[in-house]
Amino acid sequence: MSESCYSLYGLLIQSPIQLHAPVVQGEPDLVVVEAASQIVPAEPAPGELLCRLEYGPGWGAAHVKTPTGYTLRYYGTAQFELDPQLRNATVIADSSINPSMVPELLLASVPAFRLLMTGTMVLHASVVAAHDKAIAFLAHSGGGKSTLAAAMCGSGFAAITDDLLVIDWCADVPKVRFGSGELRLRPDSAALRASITFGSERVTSDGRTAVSSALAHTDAAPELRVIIVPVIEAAGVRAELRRLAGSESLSAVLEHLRVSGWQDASALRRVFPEQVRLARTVPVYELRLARGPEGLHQAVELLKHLELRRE
Amino acid sequence: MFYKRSVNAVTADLGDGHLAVMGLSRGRYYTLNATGKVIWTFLETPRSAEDIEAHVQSCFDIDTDTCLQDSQKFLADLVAEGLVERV
Repeated sequence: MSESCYSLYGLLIQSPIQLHAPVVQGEPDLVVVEAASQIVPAEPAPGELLCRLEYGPGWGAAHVKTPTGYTLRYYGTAQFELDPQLRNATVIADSSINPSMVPELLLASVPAFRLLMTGTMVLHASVVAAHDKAIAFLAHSGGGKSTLAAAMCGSGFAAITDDLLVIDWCADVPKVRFGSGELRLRPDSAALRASITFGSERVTSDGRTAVSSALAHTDAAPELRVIIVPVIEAAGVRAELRRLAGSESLSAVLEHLRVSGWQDASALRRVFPEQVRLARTVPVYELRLARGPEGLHQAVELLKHLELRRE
Repeated sequence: MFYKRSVNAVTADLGDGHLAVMGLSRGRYYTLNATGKVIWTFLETPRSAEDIEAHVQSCFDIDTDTCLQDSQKFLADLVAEGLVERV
């Protein structure tokens, strides 16, 4: 099988597994190879525990440091074995899973780990942009970030990244690194998808619908002007924005590191200064909105009129 | 007995009168108010409980009993969270 090199969050990832991400030429930062599938246990691999997150019996993930590098285990799904330099990854898909979740993990979780281990802040956010000005929606899984980002695509915004927010600082200006350009929506997003013309739609291996915006962004990395933290309420609540104070802003940024359950102090120490810098540089707003199409519509109307000027 | 900051704590001034303290060993963070910030700053070098209480009283208009209770409670919380060590 031919191998392509994909550009994701500033990394070039060479993979024999097809990823829905821009294909580029260049020296890869991470080379992925496949090994034979096997059962991936629902427990951490032996080694020094860096990160562990368990949602329930048999459901979770753990990353460990081993004598030969790192093992990223997604229980019952897949395992990635990385060398100490984080340049090579061997992927072992769980033999009981079909279709494989490996492409989805390669698009987000594995790059997030690699970036965090090399001292890069990676936040859990989706980003859209218009005229080189970006809005990030900061939320955990199921928190509405992809849905809000997709809804903004119906108002002249282009999708920049889904799930991972990585910043490059150009002097004091935070620039957003490009992700795949797709937003991954849950199965209950049919009404939203019917109301907006997207550039493309496809069903992912985990049953979501990945959409790309009809508008493509320019090649220039957009400047992050606003961070939005959605809070989904019951129906009947009018959408409203509230600017967060300094301590609240930092709380929001600290709570949304992309790799949840992190326990390794050295990586947290490396990214803490950048988290503080972001919270002090970019205005953070809480967006309260009602669940459902009307709440989404009200939220988009508020966000469209939010001034994206630099302060 | 003295109190000293843990090497596993990193801080950031939030610019709104608060101080953020990240406890790296547990991956948890805390926001300190003005009083907490004064104590944390004073702990730049190891200090006794008596020194800390005297310092808080010199910075704020607060009676001795309240200062003693609040300072001891705060220091106990910092120790419990692994942000400060007793030496």
